[in-house]
Amino acid sequence: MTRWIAAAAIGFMALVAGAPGALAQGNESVEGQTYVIGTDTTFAPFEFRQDGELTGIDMDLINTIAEEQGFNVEIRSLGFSAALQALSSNQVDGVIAGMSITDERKEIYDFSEPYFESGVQMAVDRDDETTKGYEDLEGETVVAKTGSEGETYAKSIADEYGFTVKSLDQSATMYESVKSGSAVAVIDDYPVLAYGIAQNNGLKTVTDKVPGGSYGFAVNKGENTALLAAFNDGLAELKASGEYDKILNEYLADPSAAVPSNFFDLVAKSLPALMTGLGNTLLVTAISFAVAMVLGLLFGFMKISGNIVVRGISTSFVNIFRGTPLLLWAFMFYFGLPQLTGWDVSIWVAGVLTLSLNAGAYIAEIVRGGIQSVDPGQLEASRSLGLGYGKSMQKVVVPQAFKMMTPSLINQLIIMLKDSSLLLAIGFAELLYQGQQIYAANFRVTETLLIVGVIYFIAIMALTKLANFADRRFNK
Amino acid sequence: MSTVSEQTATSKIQVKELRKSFGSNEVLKGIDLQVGEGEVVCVIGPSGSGKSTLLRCLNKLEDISAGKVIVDGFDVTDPKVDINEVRRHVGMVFQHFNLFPHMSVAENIMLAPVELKKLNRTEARAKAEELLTRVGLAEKANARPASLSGGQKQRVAIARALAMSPGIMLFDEATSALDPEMVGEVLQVIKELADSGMTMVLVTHEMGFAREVGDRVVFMDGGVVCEEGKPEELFGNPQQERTRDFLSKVL
Repeated sequence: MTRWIAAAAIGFMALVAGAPGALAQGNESVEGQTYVIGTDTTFAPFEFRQDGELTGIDMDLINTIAEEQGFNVEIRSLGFSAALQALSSNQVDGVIAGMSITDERKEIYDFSEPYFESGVQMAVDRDDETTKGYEDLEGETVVAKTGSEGETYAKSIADEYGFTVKSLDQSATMYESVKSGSAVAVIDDYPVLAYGIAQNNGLKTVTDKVPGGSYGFAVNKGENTALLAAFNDGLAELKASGEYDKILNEYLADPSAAVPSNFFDLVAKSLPALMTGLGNTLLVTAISFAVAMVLGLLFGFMKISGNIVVRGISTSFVNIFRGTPLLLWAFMFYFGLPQLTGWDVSIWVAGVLTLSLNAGAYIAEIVRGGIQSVDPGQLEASRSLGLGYGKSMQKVVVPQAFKMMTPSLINQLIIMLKDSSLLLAIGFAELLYQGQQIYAANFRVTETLLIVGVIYFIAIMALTKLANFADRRFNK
Repeated sequence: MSTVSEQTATSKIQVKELRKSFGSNEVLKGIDLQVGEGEVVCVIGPSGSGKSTLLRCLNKLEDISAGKVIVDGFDVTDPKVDINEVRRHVGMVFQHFNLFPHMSVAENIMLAPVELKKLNRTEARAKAEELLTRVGLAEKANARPASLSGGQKQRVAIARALAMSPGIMLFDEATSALDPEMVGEVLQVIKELADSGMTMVLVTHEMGFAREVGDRVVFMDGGVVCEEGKPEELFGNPQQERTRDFLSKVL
């Protein structure tokens, strides 16, 4: 799901940014030219990020061919549909994105020779000795990826072999289902499956590959013929020299050769990215909490106002943001707001708006409750001395209310820190998002989530201790 | 600041035809009252008779539904009058003390003079210590209200009410929330104030004290003043049936 959202977001931003224009045209030699190549964000093993660098079969192929043929490439990781849109509007010169060559696509794009023969395969748990083929699937559940060739194939044979197909969104989740036993097998695209197994995801393949589509490099119909020709020449040379097989083997190598790396290697390798994520999580939480406090105080005081209109505004604010899901606002601010207003909304602005408006509604209620829990006699005593309403609130009521509010505010801060993980849905690079990126590449879902969980836990415990310390210090 | 010309020269408080309703419930049904300079007036009467409401109308802690209230020359029913200014001339002591728990005893007393820029912090501190000495609590200046007994709290509250040097003091059942053995120490402080010539209105259930300290006693029932007079007259020879009935129950 995140892949599609990210694709939509990047696609949209590309539209807002305006067309940079095609950088190369015509039939002249490719020598020395620079071509802009669009690709997907994450489609392991064809393109994915490892230690922040975009890598994969597609990337290795296009870079090696460019080097051989003497041209330069500039890679734009746009997302699958956005890359195709960009190609149609000549914002990129070519697209390489694990794209199947289909008749529909051939009508609008020119394709290279196929550079990869895909297909569908079935895998089961590495320790499963009973499921050896489709005939062992009677009465069992099989997982497949929504909208994939694997799913189409699985459904086509489900009745024949008597199994149920359950569709899931992510490769990593499918593999976890098989390992946890909620499904007995997974039917998926062969390269994706082979890559997962090469990454030691704990599965093994048990059937032969069912031939499927071929992947090709695409240029816009009638454009960049020199680039296309150079790609075909380069591909042929790589195949002849054995370089092609070397690239494929690097990603799809026989799993029996893979040495399982231990848990601590995983911790060491993933920690830098996770720490970046934690930093973003803490920063977005800190900024959002500061904004939420301002909103909460404002609307909290409005809620105890004698003016019915002011009170109504505050009540509406609280009801709207308490009565709607946080995730909805994340989508609204990041995707909806730019379309409605034409503004360029950065992911930080969208994230802070989402978290602070939501928490602001809850804090407004905490503030109102805190003020109303102060004995009315306190305000009367202060007023009877001749202090005005504002002064009395500031010196007498609010300090006492704040003391009572502190535990609830600390609680709200912790909820906000945890809620910030929802921002991964719009592609905000917080802690859980970084975890997802890591297991999308190495398929070690449980271990990665465990590490992420421990980091959240430590961060929240530390924050709680800090907040309680501050509470004791300032609210004696 | 509008002063009212028709007030009598010695009158500190004038109440004319005062009415107060909470929703459809009329609690004060036309009260007339005069309090002269230096006079101590005790208001007695059964629960729900409107005594506390009358007192709270004098410094406009309750909005006034109808009638006129003139305090220290200010017409508090006039919306143009700055009520905060009036309240600085009128100290009030509450049944439940209402000390500020997040401040020390001295800070409670210093709050109004400092915030209203009447005194600087040093002067306010000196004033607080002087007032605390007066109520016999000089050693409690830095204590928190929570560490004090009920009687001590109420003496601090009296000191706080005196911090702005008011010309009038209002006591709203100042001893009702106290344990019996602490009533005496608070009444002693109030009596000393009365003897110093302070103009005071006390709502009280302490009949003996009202008799001893009051220049005049006002008996209220059902939102009206039933009877008023010198203590010896009102307690010794009440004229109204309702007054007799009430006194027979409480004495």
